[in-house]
Amino acid sequence: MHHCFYRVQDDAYYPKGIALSDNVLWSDANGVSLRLSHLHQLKTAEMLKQFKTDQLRVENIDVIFRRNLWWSNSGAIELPSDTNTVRDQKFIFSNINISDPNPSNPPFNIQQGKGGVFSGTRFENVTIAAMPSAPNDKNILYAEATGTIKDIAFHNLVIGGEVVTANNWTTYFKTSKKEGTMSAGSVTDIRFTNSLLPRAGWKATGSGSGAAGNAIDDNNTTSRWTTNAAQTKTGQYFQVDMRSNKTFDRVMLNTVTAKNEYPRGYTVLVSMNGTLWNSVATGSGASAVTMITFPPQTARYIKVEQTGRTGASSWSIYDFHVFESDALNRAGWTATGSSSSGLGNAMDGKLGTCWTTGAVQAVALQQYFQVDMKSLKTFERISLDSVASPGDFPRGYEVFVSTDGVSWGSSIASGNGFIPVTSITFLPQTARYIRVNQTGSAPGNSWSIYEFNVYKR
Amino acid sequence: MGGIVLALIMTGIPSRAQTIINGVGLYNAPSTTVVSKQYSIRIKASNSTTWRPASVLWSKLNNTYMDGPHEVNEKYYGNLWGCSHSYVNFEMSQSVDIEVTRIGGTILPSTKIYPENKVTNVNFSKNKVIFTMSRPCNVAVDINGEMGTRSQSANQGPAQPIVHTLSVHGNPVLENKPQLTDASVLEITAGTKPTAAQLETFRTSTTLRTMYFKPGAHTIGPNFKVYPNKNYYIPGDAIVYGTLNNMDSTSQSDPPANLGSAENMRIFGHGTLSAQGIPHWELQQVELDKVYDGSNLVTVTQADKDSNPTNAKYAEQQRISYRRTAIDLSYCRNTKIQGIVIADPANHAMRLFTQDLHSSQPNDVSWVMACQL
Repeated sequence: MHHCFYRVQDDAYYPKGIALSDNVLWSDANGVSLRLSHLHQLKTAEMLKQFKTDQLRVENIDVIFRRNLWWSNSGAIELPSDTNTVRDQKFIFSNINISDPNPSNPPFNIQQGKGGVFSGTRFENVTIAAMPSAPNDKNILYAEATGTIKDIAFHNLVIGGEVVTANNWTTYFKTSKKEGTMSAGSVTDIRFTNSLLPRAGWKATGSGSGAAGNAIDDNNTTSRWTTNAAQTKTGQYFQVDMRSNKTFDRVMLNTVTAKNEYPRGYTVLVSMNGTLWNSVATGSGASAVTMITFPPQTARYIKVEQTGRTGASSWSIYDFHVFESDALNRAGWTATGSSSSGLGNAMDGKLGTCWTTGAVQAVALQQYFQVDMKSLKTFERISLDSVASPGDFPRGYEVFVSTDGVSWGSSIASGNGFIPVTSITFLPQTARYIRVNQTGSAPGNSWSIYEFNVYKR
Repeated sequence: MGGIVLALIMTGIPSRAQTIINGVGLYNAPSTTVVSKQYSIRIKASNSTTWRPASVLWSKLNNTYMDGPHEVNEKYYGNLWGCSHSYVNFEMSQSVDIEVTRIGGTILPSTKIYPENKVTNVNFSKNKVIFTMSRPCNVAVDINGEMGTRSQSANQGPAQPIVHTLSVHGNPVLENKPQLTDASVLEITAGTKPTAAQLETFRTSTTLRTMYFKPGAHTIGPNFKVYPNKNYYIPGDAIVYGTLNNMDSTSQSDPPANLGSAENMRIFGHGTLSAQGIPHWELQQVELDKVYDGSNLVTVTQADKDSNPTNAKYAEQQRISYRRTAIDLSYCRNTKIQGIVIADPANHAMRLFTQDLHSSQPNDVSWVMACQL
């Protein structure tokens, strides 16, 4: 289920299936955006085997409005307190953006009932624009007696412009239904990590007279960089020099203290040398936290140009962060394939160029794409992006790895593509070569890869 | 918690075929009665100077009554009483510019577009907002920030400000659209309903493959049956009032022998499937429900549930609730729902059940816009 838009009065979405991506959700009155009660439950060993490689991935979800009229416990992401349920399939929720500027109930409401277990789930790159509506209205991780919540990982969770860490997570979460009432069951191994790049030594510059360094210091509430001019003036920009090449895939512009001073429009450019720039993202800001994502980039310089027009406010940044990408740096990598058409295009960072079979997908054609990473790497995920030709995802795939390009062994993953971005997860591998064989048929589509990425996690 | 909704009304009107010009595919409105009274929109290719008017449709509470100045409908949560939602569904193969005008009103720079990273070049001029959509996507245009600043308070009544919201849906171009001249097409003329004989011929035919709802308004009613290995095409200039399913609560076999599975079924196009006129799930609990028992409308009340030890009437209502779901399909495999708008569903918008989650022939739901308002 992908590229859909749901406006509902009640619950929006019961995640189930294999892949859910690129959907816009809007709940008007009483709803949960992602209600997890329908997650797969392990009941048999056969099911465990079946789900070993096929994980439910929920990716690129935008919750634009989320209103709760009286159902005090409804969250954006909710696990209702069902009893005797066991959910442990390593579900992944990635790139969840709750952009409603209006505070609502706590976004996470995860409650495990008696006798059940909720575990093995990752929430990655979750951005929540608004703080909960009341200071004590914290996100909930609650287990009833004999119930267990464990092995839950939050990576790059941002709430109201603040990155939630192992040190501050109790500011945002409680393991009780009510403040001071602890879970009767077990809530353990809850992890908060992030991939913020350390900013020490960076240099910031910008248009206008504002002190650009204020945007990369650790004071994100009172010191800022500002244009000191309405967003009607052309040439407004903010730039950082990270002093060395980094691999990153998102930047955050936080202006929570002055909520209206977000950029009405933006273009993000990156550069290796500060002279030649490559545009990687454009968009329009709409809230005090502007999180901008793009395909993994390796560069030293980042520049944000303000492209919108409003006389209502200047443009300010109280806090500017760059998130390191989990993708491996592809510099120097080479590719081979069953077709020689555009081999390098799949790793050039440009979503408009691709490698393609140039022929329809067919098993008999023995189509494959292979990458040489030039040295041993450790990784546990690859992604094949064909968004620009959305029907060109592989209908079937097998993934092999090798340390020498000669011995390949058994496949480490196999399955079927469903949506324009095929994300394939497997147990951690250490290898130099990766080969993807196309194993399905699509009479009307070739197999194309606009970007091929390999991820540490 | 369940789902809920809103509605529309139609009569068929003639409409010209859709054409794609400069990479932009627009449709005429299927009926004048569903044309938005709140917004008008023009669209052009970004590399062109020629604007073309798009059909902005709307979905609005039906079966309302007035409580003082407020339009009330108890089948919708109170904070939506009096509200409407306008939308435009079109095709694009290149970057487009979109110009939104509020009919009889003003668009201010406080207008925001969500998700915020989908569009660029947002500009305001003469009561209009203009922006660029460089690739297909779905966005909500929050006119004057009215939705974003709306109260979260627990308000059941009509005290909340009435908002008329807007969404814009740029779809990828649908390739290989069915043609009325195709031998595999069974065309359905607006204002007519397929007869039982037509449906049976369609179901059993090895030639007829696609039911094509021609431009205009169609009323097929609740509980319209759909079959495996068949396509149902609703072009952007058609609106179909009814619900689609392959369920039969009286069947002793799974899937029902007279219906079959939903395998290799495709429901697609850029038109609207609406449940206006179909009894909606009751929110305010004055009545528990109203539902067709085949041909008659039956009201189920709380008293029925409380006074009947077997809950027979209520249980029956539950058993046939699929008739209110806009699309309710069982035994799905290679089942596709693509591009359409589901307006004002009487309960859920879609349910797809499968017995084979890891089939190499996956189901696909894509570019669907569903609005319960």
